[in-house]
Amino acid sequence: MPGSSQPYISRAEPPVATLNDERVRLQDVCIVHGRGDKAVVAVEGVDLRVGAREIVSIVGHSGCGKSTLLRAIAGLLPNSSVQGDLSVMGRTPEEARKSGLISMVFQESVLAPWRTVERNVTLPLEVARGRTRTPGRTASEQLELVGLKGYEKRYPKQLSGGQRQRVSLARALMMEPEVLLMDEPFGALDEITRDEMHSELLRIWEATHASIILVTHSIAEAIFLSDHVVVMSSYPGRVADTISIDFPRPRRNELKDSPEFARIAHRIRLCLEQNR
Amino acid sequence: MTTVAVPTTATSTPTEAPVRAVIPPAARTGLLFRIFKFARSWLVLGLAVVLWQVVVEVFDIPPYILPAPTEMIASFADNPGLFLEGLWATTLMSLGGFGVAIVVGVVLAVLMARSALFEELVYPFLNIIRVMPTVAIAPLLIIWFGRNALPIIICSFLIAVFPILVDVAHGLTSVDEDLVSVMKLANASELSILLQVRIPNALPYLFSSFRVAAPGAVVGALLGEYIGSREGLGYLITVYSAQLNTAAVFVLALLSCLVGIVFFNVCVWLERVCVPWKTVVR
Repeated sequence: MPGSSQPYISRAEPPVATLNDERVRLQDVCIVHGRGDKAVVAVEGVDLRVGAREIVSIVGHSGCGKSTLLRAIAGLLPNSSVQGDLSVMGRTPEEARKSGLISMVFQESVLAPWRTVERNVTLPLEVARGRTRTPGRTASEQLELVGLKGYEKRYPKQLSGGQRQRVSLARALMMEPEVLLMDEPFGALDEITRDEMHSELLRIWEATHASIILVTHSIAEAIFLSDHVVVMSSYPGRVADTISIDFPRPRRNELKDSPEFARIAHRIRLCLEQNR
Repeated sequence: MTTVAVPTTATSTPTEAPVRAVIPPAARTGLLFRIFKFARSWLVLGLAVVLWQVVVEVFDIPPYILPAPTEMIASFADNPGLFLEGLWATTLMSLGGFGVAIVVGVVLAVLMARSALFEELVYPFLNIIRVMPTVAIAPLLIIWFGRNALPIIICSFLIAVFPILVDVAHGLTSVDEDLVSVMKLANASELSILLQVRIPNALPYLFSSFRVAAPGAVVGALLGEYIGSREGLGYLITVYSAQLNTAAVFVLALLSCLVGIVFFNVCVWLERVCVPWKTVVR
């Protein structure tokens, strides 16, 4: 597999925690849509490892299969279309999904407009089958964490785009996931709100124990948030490069203006251009 | 329009008061203005009625062609019990047809949304019934079931059921797939997804289908009565038109309109009460 020839981590010392406490592991994963003559290879030979409390971003051109990859990790794709070794917390994605280990945030907040903010946040718990553990935070506490204290009784329509996305995040965290998948979560927001949401996400993430896999179009977003940035090539989607981001945490928005930040951004941009 | 311009230049500080004085007169919501706003459409209607009366009298139009509004009122006042009984009968028949249409429409829509096989098998039949003119079926229904309420309710049902069926089926299937994914990630059952996501999502579609289905139910009931009944507005229309009692036919037509309008407006009101998230304002 040509895509997998590159090391998935370019860090000098392999992070010990990552190796011992692996949450998501993809080895030589291929995703094929359709069958027979109409089969289209969306993703090919992808290796990826995500450790505990790590944030890994996947960047790539539109249609490179990054969202498909995320849906495969979430166990939302039919088994027949996913080949290779793919595990979440040592289980198949489907098992992990059924055990409530995975939550997902999408580009649109996809809230239920007929439910108040609070009841949107509790929706996953209401319908979760075979779930016995009680959540560590109530819906109100969860909303307070995402900065929406006092908004419990509002309807989604009464909120701004950024606020709705915060509700969506609170809903995802209500399940106390081990792995949080985010599919361009800030893609529909304006730039100022986006910047604000970046530092907010990091603050909220500090308060949880989730690992995050984030699909994004924004190079700056990927660098600012992540421990590792995976750059994907297109048609079919392969891992072109994996870049470790060693900026210490907590990170502040000023980081985005530093020369080191610009250097990494430049490297990712070059990599994307070479792998159209 | 010049009065609309509110000073936005840097010279106006928040402490300055005169901004209040710049509000254009049209935006003032005084009591008189509100009454006028509410009543103006009725005013136009009233003027039209007066014009009607004047035209009939000036051109001396015979009452069997176009009765004057006063003659219509006289016709109604002559035997109000008869008209009101008809009105009541038609309302009951329409309500019956509409009620059955809601139940059957929703059940069929849920089945069709849940099972592709069911949809495939049932859809052709539904399409045939849908395009078949109710006027053609109504006499058959009367031959089969006799001159009673049943064929009338079926006529009403036939017209009302399809808008409900089509819209609700659409509402059940037009759910955002990402929201379904959220449910699946919580390990929700198909039943919970139906109850918590698909059905609430379809509710606004249900109520908007009522706007078409409810007046349709009234038309269906009238049609059924027209073709074979011994009571109701539709039946009275056949009787009075045979007598060339045009004034009475006009009264009956207006009463039919009234039933339709009431049905429509009740549904609009229900929509506002039952799906408030569609009308929540910031």
